[in-house]
Amino acid sequence: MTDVALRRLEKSFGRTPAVRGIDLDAPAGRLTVLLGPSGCGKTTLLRLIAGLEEADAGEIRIGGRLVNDLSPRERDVAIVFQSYALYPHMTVFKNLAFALKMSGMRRAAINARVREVAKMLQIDDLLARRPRQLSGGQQQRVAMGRAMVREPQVYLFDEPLSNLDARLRAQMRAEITRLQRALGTTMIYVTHDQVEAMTLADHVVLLDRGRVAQAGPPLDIYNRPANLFVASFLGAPPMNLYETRILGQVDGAVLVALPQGALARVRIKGRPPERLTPVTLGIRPENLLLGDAAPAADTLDADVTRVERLGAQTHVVLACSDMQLIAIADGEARIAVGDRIRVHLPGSRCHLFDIAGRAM
Amino acid sequence: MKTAVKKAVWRIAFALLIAAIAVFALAPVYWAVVTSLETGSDLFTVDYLPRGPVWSNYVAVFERQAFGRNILNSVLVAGGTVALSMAVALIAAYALSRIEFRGRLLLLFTVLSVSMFPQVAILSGLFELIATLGLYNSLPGLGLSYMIFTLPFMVWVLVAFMRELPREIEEAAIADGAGPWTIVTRIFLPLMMPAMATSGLLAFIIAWNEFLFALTFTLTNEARTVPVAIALITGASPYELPWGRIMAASVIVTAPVVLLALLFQRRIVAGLTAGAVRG
Repeated sequence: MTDVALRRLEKSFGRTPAVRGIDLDAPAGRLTVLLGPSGCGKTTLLRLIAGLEEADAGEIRIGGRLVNDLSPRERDVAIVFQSYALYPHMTVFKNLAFALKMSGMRRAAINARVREVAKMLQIDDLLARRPRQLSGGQQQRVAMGRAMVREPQVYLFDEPLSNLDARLRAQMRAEITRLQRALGTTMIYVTHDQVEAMTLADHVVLLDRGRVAQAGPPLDIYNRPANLFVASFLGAPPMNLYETRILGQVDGAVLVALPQGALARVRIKGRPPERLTPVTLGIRPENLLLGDAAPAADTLDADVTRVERLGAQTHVVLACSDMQLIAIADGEARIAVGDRIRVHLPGSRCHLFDIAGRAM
Repeated sequence: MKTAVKKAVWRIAFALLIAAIAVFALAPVYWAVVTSLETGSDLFTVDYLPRGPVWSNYVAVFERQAFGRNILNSVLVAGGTVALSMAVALIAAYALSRIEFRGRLLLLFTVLSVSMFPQVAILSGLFELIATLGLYNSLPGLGLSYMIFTLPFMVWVLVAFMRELPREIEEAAIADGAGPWTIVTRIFLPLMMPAMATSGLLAFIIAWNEFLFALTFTLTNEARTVPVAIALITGASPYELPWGRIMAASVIVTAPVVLLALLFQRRIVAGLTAGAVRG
């Protein structure tokens, strides 16, 4: 069992900083997802861990061992690339065997190991083929197999599913989870897809412009975003945000001004801020109460400006004075554009962010 | 109806054009073949088919002079030049396309500029160099001088081709524990076979046909290559040019090049179009 720890890691390309002082712990035997929009430094971070890039400053420890100056091979990590990067001129068997051959393993042992891995990934009948004769999903499996044959301490995945179609992606997600449970090896997985992050991860590290925005179990991050970036990045449709002010406090909850003179009562962790402090109120679309579900007090009247029916659910865009809201209703909900509907923002589900964007 | 006629006319015109180009390109070769199969006064009459083909010219080429030795020389020089150029160019291309170092572009253009000077301009200087190295009148001396023009273009072709190879394949190999030498020989070399075949064949043709250096840097017939040997074929008297033998020798030396081109035809086409449709 090997954990990966990064301390004050920095990396720039020319004058462009890609990773700016990152502290990160990928727990041993777990799947850690590095999540973030493109350009947030997640792939650079993975390449730094792999040893394909050299860090400008900071420490990379794998299993407690400082590996900054070690080659990828000596770090004992395996990478699955976004493009798979299979060797086009070699058969599947040779692709899988290459790393073992490099390590000087005996032929019989290589043969046995390759067949074992191929069987695990259900590609044992493809061993004689070349990569171009395989479908995308099969190439993906070979790429994973190439990492697995070596039995590395840590697996690194760089957006491995982004070239697959949606159905295959869901299937491979399940497969990766199954493999991770079976192998029990530490994995670090880079993606920009929050669905992948939520479904695969034991531990999510959300990155923003070369820094860690928040790290923790996926649902913790979803339910308790540490800042505005995390709040707005996670969730589809995204969290509703409304810039407003604090009006006062009652029984340990602060009162936040809403349109039409309504109030939201939000509990916060720290000291209650002064009256009229500007804040951003956030609430997820699925937490809004619509129509009859809304209680009598502190309810807003909103105009339905747009209705998107997805089948299982309906996204409803609401305009409520200067506040724009997206709500999620049933697939069959009787809501039409132009309707006037009552909306309630339950205070227990609201998030408050200060002017710097930090959760309060 | 009218369009069908028009189409047919165009087609015939196009076929005629192609035929004209083919005749223009192949007539000299055909003429050489025909002439090589004739002797005596037949040489000087216009025949479109050899009159009772005679093979005496071909026999004479080998009997009257050490033409076999010349062919061997050519094979050794051209083959050696190509093999050495390929090896050096492959390694150089890896460094120039994959490793970032200061002055990389300058070096690349320096390599190119080496091949820009006309042969005549460097002839005397190169003569001094080869004489100093003790390579005068020897095959290695010729090989060395040929690499002046085979290496730069090979390096450039291979650098361009290697840049097209996805970086991730190399990185996968690095992660698999392969060193630079293994990456070059086991990963890049097989992927670059089309480029190697194309540039190798062109280098072979250049080295095979080269005349000026071969004439200048050799003294005796034992060290001469085929083009020089053919030019120096003499008849019984200074006033006779033995056309039959010259043509026979020409046909003999053309054959290997044609054969090689046919052999590598598919790879050459792949090499010329690679990069355009990669993906």
